[in-house]
Amino acid sequence: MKLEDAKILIGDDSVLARKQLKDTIASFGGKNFIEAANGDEAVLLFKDENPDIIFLDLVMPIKDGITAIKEIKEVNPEADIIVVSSVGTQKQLKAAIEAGINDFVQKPLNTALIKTILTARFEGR
Amino acid sequence: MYTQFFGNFLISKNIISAKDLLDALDLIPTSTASFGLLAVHSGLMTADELQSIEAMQKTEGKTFDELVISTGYMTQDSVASLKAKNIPDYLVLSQILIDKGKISYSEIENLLLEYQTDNEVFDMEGSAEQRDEIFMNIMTYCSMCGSNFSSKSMNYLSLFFNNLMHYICEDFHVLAVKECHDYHVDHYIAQKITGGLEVLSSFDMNQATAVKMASLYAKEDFDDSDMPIVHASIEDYLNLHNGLFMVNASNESTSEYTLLPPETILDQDIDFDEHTYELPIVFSFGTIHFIFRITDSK
Repeated sequence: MKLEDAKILIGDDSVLARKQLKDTIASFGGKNFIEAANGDEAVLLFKDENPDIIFLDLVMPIKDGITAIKEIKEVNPEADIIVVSSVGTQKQLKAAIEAGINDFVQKPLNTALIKTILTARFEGR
Repeated sequence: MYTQFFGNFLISKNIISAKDLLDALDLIPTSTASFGLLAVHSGLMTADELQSIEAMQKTEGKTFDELVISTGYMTQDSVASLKAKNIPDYLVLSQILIDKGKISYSEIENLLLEYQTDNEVFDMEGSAEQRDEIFMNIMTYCSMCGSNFSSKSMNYLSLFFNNLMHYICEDFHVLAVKECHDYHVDHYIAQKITGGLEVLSSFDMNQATAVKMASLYAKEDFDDSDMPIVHASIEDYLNLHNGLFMVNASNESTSEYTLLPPETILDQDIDFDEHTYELPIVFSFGTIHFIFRITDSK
């Protein structure tokens, strides 16, 4: 699948973090974005939109990232979830891996790492 | 100051699998790092030298300490000094992976160097005297008010100033710290950490300063019409700073904390808890009032 055809869900309570990640992915060719401002919205949007890849923060109001990952994985165990968080502690990383994430990106955002993640999954422009 | 958890770094480099990491993390509480690995990590000897010492141990029947001193790699003082250091968890993790045969001493030597190079946030810039003066003023005042700052608290504040210089602006000075009780906030952004260290860290400032601080952090040119994203940017900065503190704490020891979502409060009176302090930080573009409370619960 081409990146420009991929449906990309970004779940982060920070509008800045969502904008920066969206801008980064768009610079590599991503076009179809869905945004969630908390874990609850992310799960609902996942069920409604069935995105091809999900970028999720861990610290979010209403429903945190780990809970959202577990609920998404219950709906679709194959869901491709990338955690993007400033809280890369042992406990959080372990919980995220156990919940079934496919990658963990530590903030501040590393553009090269995002490119590597996208290149491994999608064709470029 | 590490910005990325070492285990995650090893996975991202395809050195180990997620399962390898999970298995190793479970062993950390009951494991330690060898003195040799500590010496390599401290740059006192190379991985090759360590292996030659280990080979000599088998043939000469001497202790590791005796051999590193007799071969001239280390002195008695440097051995004693190294033994007095705390062993960070990422070294314990490294030792477990070495013992399991997942990685060699030579590989770990290079990876630790690469990890530190890739992820190091520069030590606090500016003069050491300036930093010491800031810390001394804060500690003296807070002690007089009945607060007792631990080394963890000082690490938090050190990282705070480090990040402020790295992500916002290097050029600032601080005014006298004071206790903060009833306080009218203007544009107030706060976040709490719970766990071994209970932290409230927050900023209060006027709108023009908020716009400038957010613009500097996000590398965007915000104006007064962008206030939602201005607040989000400052929340994001606090979240980044506190997240980095937690990652550092996680790398250095088994300390684990919980970070609560940041919040923005506008134009309101707040009655802060006891031992909350306000430190005005003066930049050329305005004054940011750093309002904080740090309680070491252990």
